[in-house]
Amino acid sequence: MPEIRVINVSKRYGDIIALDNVNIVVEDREYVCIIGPSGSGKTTLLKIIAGILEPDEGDVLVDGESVLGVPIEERGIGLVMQDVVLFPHMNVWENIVYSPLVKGLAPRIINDIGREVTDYLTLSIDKKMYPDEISRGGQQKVALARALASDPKLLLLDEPLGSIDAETAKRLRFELRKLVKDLGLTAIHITHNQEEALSIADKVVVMRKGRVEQVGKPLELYLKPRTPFICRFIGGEANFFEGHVKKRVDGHLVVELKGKHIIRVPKTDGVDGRVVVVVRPEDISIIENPVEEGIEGVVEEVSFLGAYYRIQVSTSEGTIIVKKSGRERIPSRGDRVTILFRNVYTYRYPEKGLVEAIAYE
Amino acid sequence: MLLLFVFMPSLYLFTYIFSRWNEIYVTVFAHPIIGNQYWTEIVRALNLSFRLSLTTVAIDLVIGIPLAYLLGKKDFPGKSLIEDLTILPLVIPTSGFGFATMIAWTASYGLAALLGLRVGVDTVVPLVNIPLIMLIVHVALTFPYIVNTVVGALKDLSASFEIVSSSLGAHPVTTFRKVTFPLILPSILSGSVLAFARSLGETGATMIVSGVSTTASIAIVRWEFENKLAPAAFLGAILVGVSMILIVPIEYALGGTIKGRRIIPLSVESFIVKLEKSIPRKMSWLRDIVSIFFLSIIILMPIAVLLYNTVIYWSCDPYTGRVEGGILYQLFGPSDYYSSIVSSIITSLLVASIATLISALVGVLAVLLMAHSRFGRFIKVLLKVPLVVPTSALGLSMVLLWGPHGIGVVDPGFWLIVLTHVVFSVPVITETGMASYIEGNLPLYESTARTLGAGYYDVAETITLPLVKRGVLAGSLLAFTHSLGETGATFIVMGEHRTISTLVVNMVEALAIPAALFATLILIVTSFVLVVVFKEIY
Ligand SMILES: Nc1ncnc2c1ncn2[C@@H]1O[C@H](COP(=O)(O)OP(=O)(O)OP(=O)(O)O)[C@@H](O)[C@H]1O
Ligand SMILES: [Mg+2]
Repeated sequence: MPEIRVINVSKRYGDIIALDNVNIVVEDREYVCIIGPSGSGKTTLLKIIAGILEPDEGDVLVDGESVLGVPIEERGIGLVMQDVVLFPHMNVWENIVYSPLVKGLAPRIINDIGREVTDYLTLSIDKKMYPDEISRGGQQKVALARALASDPKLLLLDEPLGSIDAETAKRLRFELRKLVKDLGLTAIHITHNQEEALSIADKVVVMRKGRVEQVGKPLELYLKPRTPFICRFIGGEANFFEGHVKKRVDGHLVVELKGKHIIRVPKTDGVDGRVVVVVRPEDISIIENPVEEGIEGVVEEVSFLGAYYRIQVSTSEGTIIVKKSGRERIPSRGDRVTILFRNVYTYRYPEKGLVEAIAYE
Repeated sequence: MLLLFVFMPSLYLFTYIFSRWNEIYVTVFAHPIIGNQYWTEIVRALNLSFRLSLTTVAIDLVIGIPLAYLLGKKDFPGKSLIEDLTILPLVIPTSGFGFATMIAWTASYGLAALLGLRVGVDTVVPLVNIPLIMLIVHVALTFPYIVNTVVGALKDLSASFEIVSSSLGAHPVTTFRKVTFPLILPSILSGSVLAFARSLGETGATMIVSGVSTTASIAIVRWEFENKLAPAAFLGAILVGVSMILIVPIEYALGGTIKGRRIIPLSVESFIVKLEKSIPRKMSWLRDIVSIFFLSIIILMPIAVLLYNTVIYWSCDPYTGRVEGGILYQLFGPSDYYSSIVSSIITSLLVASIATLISALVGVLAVLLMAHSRFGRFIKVLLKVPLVVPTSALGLSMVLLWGPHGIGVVDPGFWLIVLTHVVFSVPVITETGMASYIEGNLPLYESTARTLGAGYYDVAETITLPLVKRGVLAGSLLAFTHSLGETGATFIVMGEHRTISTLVVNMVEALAIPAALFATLILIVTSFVLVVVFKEIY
């Protein structure tokens, strides 16, 4: 029943800093998702927790005790990796009972365990088939069964659904969460897919360039992004504006954007001088008549994306993207409109510039 | 072209035997004077050869797999030196190496003497009844085939398999037995076949250390010298047949994973697992040390002893003090080995250069053919044949085919040597050429080029050739070194000409030990240089 603490962990590959002073706490029985752009160090972190890599600095505690130097086979983890899943020279059944077998359990118990996990996962695949004869989704399920048969306390999943078609992946992700909860396991799940992470995690860790950018509950990350990067990474597209604070009025800051528009934003701690203002497309209203604090523009493009319309408006503050549900009134191309921000996030202007601050790598 | 020059020689022995079956039958089985004497000798030679080759492969595996593990999985200081040492036997002229090994083990200050053992060329290993030094030489010359193929397989094998196995609770030894080993088994098998075939056909070094024992390939060379073509051809055909029976099915079957059925019952399995669990985890250093130790004994020591001997024999025989027994005297004295060494080196270099050049041309065409023809796979397997055919049998086949007894267009001598070397050089070049073709993902680029409107010859010229160039280059270098060191076939086809590797055999037979020391040293230094160049390219 483990609680995992990653403390000040750093890892370098030559000149590349894969992990830079990372701290994470995973509570017992918690389902944690780690997301971040490619190369942000997710896999490296997972490997360190699994014992595949040793950190250059820092420590990993399981239930308060350091596990550095403990060999992988003694850590009681269930590992599911993205690239290679199953042993190609063993059939499905041999793959599933591999763990009880190599732990030297009695033959009867081995068979019992095998049957138990296949029943639990309702695996309908013929157990005599070989991995290359079954689908990716099937393989991934067998890999999961194999991991469960080792009776792990901690599940480590590196993009377990990454190479499965979207439909199946969506179904499997909820099965995964249910299983972890039913069995009382602790799970750390890496994914590229923010929707996957937000929909199943108790807690999400967002990584970027080897650092932890923010940790929080899914809704928290969406509602209270700590940095411009999180705004961009969680919740899809966002609009970024540069500006500076003109004055402070009871509870508000008056900000002048680059294109000279004046807007009022809620006061935020530590924000003054040059700022970055972020607005999500779904937090924008489009109105036909000019209003105070509105930004005028011309509709450049309207595209229907299934669940909503994506509207691109060209303004003196740059192109602004707006999302509208199909049930609302949708302007057409060439219309003159006024844009009004319903909710904004304001940040101090980053030292190395805005582009760097929201870049993936 | 390919068919005529590369395959036919390997298979001609069969034609020869069938066309003269009556004559051969009488000579071998029912000779009016000696009865079936030849048959008895053939059986004896084959018996020794097979025992020798099987034992060699067994020892190769025991030494080779741990060494491959060390080289394929770990990084440590001095690794590249160890890699060089495992390539060296592939490029070293075998006669020279055989000579160095013989000296190292029989000399009064060699390892055996230090251990208080008396070792000579006639010392026999109990149980398998094989001459000890012969076995050592064969192991040293063939274990790189295992190491190289297994290192390649280990590098290709994703580390994830072992990691997942550990995470499921398997002890490292269990992981090796149940996961790594089965997955690299195909490579181990094909490495073993190569090693076996090499050992079966090894002539150069074996001649030097053979003493009174006769292996099959030596018997062929002897009989050919004595112009007893019938038994030689018969024995040669048997060797070729055996090599082909070995290589063709295995090559065809390989290329996939071996999906095994569980043979061991579960209860035994769990007993084995418990046993493995009791092995301390930190034993791996022991394995590493032992494999490095073996390497130094069978490869480094002979070279060191050779160097030492060259120094002490330089001006005179160190024991009798006689100048006549020194290297300088033998080289420049009345026997004038100096000029024969120089001329044979020139011959060797010329042969190797011409043969390699021709082979590279043929090889490139063959690669194109294999890549684009429907029979590619078939040709690929056929091309393995010259690689595993014992070279003395190949040489014999060449003489019978091209020489005065056959078509009669090329007499034994310089050009027949070249032709023979082409036969075994082409496959070496196509092998590396094909490897870079496949690794470079060339089919993809080729079809991309096609979609861009390039025709067949455009594709070959602009895409295929430039990209396989490196592989062909590396293969050519390897072929060059093979050609420099080849002894078995050369002996049979050389006529009056001498290459440096055959000269060494002659010197040893003439007991001109100091001269042989010097010639061998030259050979070994050259191989070292070639190894370094080879690594630069590859
Ligand atoms: N074995 C290695 N040698 C050198 N650099 C490495 C190695 N493994 C990872 N890296 C580098 O470390 C950084 C972090 O890699 P990591 O695999 O942890 O990223 P990731 O977040 O898992 O990316 P992805 O989403 O693409 O899987 C990357 O810049 C990567 O290039
Ligand atoms: Mg990764």
